[in-house]
Amino acid sequence: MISIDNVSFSYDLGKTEVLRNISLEIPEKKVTSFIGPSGCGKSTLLRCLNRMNDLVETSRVTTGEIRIMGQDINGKDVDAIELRKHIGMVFQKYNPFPKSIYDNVAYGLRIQGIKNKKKLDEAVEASLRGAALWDEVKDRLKDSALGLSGGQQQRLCIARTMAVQPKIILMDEPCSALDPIATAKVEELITELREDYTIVIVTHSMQQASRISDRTAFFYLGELIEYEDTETIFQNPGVKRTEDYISGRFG
Amino acid sequence: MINGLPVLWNKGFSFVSQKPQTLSVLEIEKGSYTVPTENFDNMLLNNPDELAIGNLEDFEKSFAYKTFKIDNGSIIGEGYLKEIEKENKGYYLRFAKRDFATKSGFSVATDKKFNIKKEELAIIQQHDPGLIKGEITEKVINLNKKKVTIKAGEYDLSKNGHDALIPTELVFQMKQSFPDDEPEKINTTIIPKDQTITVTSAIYNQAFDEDERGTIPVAEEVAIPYTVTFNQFTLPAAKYKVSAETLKVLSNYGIKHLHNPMLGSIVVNDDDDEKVTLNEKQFKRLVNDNPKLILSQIEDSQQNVSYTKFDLQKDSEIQLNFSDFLIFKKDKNFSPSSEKTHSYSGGGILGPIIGTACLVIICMTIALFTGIAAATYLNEYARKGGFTRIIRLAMLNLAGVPSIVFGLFGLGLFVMIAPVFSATPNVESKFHVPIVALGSAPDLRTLESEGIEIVDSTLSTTQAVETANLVGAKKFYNGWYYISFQGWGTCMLAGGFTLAIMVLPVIITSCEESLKAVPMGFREAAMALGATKWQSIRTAVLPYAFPGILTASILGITRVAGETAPIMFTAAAAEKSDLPWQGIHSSGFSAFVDFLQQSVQALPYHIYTVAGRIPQSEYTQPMQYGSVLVFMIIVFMLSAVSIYLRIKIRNRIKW
Amino acid sequence: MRKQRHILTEFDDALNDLKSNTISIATLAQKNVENAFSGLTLRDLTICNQVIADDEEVDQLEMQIDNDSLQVMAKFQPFASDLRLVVASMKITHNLERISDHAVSIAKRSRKIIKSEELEEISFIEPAYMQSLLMLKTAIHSYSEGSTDMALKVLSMDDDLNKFHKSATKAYTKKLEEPCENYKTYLNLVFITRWIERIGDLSTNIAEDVIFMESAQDIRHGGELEE
Repeated sequence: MISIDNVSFSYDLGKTEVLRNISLEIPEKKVTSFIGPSGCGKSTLLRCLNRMNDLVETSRVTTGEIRIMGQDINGKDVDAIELRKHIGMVFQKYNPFPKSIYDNVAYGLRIQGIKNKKKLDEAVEASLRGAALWDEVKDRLKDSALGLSGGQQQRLCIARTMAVQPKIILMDEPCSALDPIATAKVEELITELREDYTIVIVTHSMQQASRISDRTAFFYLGELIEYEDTETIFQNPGVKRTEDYISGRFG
Repeated sequence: MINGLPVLWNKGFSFVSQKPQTLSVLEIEKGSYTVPTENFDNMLLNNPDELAIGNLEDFEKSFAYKTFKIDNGSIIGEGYLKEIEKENKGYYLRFAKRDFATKSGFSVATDKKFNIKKEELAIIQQHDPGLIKGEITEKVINLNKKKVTIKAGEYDLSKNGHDALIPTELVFQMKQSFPDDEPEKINTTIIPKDQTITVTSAIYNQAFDEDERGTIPVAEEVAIPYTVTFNQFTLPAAKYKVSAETLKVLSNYGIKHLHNPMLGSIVVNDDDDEKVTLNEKQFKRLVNDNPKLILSQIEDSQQNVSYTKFDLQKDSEIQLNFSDFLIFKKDKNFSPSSEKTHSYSGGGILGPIIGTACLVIICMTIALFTGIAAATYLNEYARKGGFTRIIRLAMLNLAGVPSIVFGLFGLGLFVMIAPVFSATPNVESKFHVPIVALGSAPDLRTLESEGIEIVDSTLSTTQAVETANLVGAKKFYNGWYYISFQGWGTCMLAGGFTLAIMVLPVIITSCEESLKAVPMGFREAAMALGATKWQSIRTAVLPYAFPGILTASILGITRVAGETAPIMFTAAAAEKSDLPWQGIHSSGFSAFVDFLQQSVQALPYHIYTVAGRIPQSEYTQPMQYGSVLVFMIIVFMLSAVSIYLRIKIRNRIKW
Repeated sequence: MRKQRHILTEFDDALNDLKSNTISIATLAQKNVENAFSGLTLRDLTICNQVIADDEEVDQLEMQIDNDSLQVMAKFQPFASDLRLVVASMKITHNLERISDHAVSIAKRSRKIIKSEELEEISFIEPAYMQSLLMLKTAIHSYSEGSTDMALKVLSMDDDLNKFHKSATKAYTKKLEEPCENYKTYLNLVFITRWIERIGDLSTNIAEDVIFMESAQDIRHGGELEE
């Protein structure tokens, strides 16, 4: 689904490289997790996938290609805006707009110009159901989104992302700001979503990665150290550094 | 505040709801007077101390009015049309043709004797031979002209002599000019060469009479006697119809009418079918003096005006607004023993308040639009680096520029060379750029009132300008639309723009702060959902920066409302009788443009005028203090509104 | 191989405690086995009773080690080698407890043999015993050193143990075929030989667990260790 082919990346026009020669294949309709200590580049790589790094003017993919479904996403004829409609992103700090719940979920569709109320209603309901939030909010769709609890807000952000029906959902430490029960609900949601979406999740929690992901990639200082099935990584990693990291010997 | 509160207390709401007027201070003897009640009430408002008034009696007087419609094709004198327009505020006729052939009417109330020159009588006899029915006597008067020779040299000359010599052919130069406030001053004049001119006795007495000081000595003088023949005749009281030339002559000798014999009568081309109203007296005069006037749908109506009869029990000093004074004068008993006027001390400050409000609205519209756009660009789009630093530095500097510099800048840029898109550009404009040949010629009334000269459409722009210049016209029309850099003149638009530039740094800075306060997460979330940069800013950032922007704009308003120097040069008029939306005679978009092109009164400038530019007296003081107090109250109210709005909106949007 | 310390010192301390406790129980079990055989050969009742008494401590230690292991897993959620260490330690402890139980059984039978007349056939079990003891020592050593080589050596010694076991048993059963008045002693010796063989088997289990702990490969039931 996603081919990262010898990719290097820099935030300052190539002077210092934040990612070096990363190559990995992310399979379709599975959960892939990126783990590694802070500053190892996993969030950077995640944001490369939907070209969110374009917001920083001096960022460049200095070598290699990122291909999604066969197409180079940094190619000249690829519109980043269009790309982001097919790749959704959920952020570490949940950030629903200070609008109503309905408006939050419908935001992505309205941006695309869809105004038909019936279509919007259906899409909103489908997304909220998919995010396991419908039953909790169906009576107060017009209330402000900021009245929800933290976990609900994060699930609302996931519903918002799902409403535009992307093929890939990227999650950047989605549970790091949530309490354990909310975290568990989100993890449950991720395991359900796996059937319809390709999910790439960056996480600091080893336990979370081992619980919900199918494939795990371990990054360190901008390089990909090991990329295996999750079971292998967490029971018998091949590289000593991986083992040291997941055992808590450093990192 | 101490001085201002009593003023407001006494005058009440009228202070804010009346336009500024000249105040007449009159000494009135005791007596009994009858005046309309409205003016009586105004008089009570204007006099803070209790007047000794007794025996009040209210009654109604009714006046008869006639309502009618003027049919197309009627011929009407210019003055009569203007009177109708004055009495009926919505009525404005754009006539296209003037008529010289029709005879104009006038009435003579009592037998009137005329003493006119022979040439003038000839004109009358030529055009209206049947006019003078009575006896015409002749009188020959001998007058003297003098032919004087003056040698070259330097001589003393008084102002009177100077003024008298100007229309003559004498060539002379003044060493200094005559100041306005020293009429007795004697200056030196230089006569460059020997000259001989012929002058009338009047001019001779002023400039050459040796008995007077400051006259030029003559080397030689020759008296040239000539005679002027005067004719006398009497016109009995009646109504008359005469041609324009005759009327021109008779007007010089005291005939009362409202025609304009120089320019002719007006052909009515009214498409609107509007009905107008005049009172009986005016209506009678209109019908009498305009024989070719065709009226239809004539209706009678009555209006009742309440009058008050009162006794003034002792000699008092009364303050009245000038307009009230004019109406008081209609009472024949009313004759003040002394009359003093003080400008700007009567009435209220409605005009300045409205003017300030208009200026503020225009200014904030421009400033907010530009400011928000600039702040958005600086914060969201511009590359962080040298360019933005330069802009910010420039803004900081702009914030410190004294306001009078802004005034002068506005004067130079907006008032004098701003571009105007028009089919009738000024002759005086700095630069003309022809655009498209689609203009339609304006109607005759506009041509006359604005001094437009229609030139041939084959002429080039430069030739057209020259032609119009030669003729003395102010504008020209040759069928092309021009962009003409002629400035907007002193008007609200220029003032608004100048104020907008002044307040722009404040707005941009606060808008930027508000934008920065919106968390980055909103922008990222919006963009991750596939919004373009502008969409994300419009829907996910600007709405939440709104409270800050609102505060900034109120701050801007507070600052701008009180500025004097910028509007002094660009928009403010000291005296304006109409409110901005009155007195506009176009419709649609041109009405909007005309509205903006007016100058307005403004509160700070009004305070300046009342305090600094007119002679001070105890009568001007109430106006000054009252104006300042009202002004401060307005500013406080604006600040309070801003705080309230900010709190309310901030509570609604919280993250 | 020296492993880097964990960042959480509690984690490190807990694992170290676990390991040292396992070694303690191993030492105890080993001592019990040695004492059981000494008591038999030296015909000393007190030593035999000592073995039975010391088994209490082994039982207590086993329970404690099980408890500690559960705690480590719940508290620190160990992964990879740490997890294998904990699980292996639990299993090894269990095996050691059973070894100690077998030593107790040997001691109990020895008491009975001591009451009867000394026989020279008692020395026949010596080779099997030595082999079994060596296997146990090597297995314990392989755990404390974390050495797969030593563990493999233990597995290779199993064949010899079987040989020794078979020959001793055969000698004793032959003796039992003929009527004699020391048949009880010979029977007890047969049982003791069996238990010695069981101790060897359990040592082999310990070695397999050590191999799993170190290499993550499960070579039980006929598996081969891959490089």
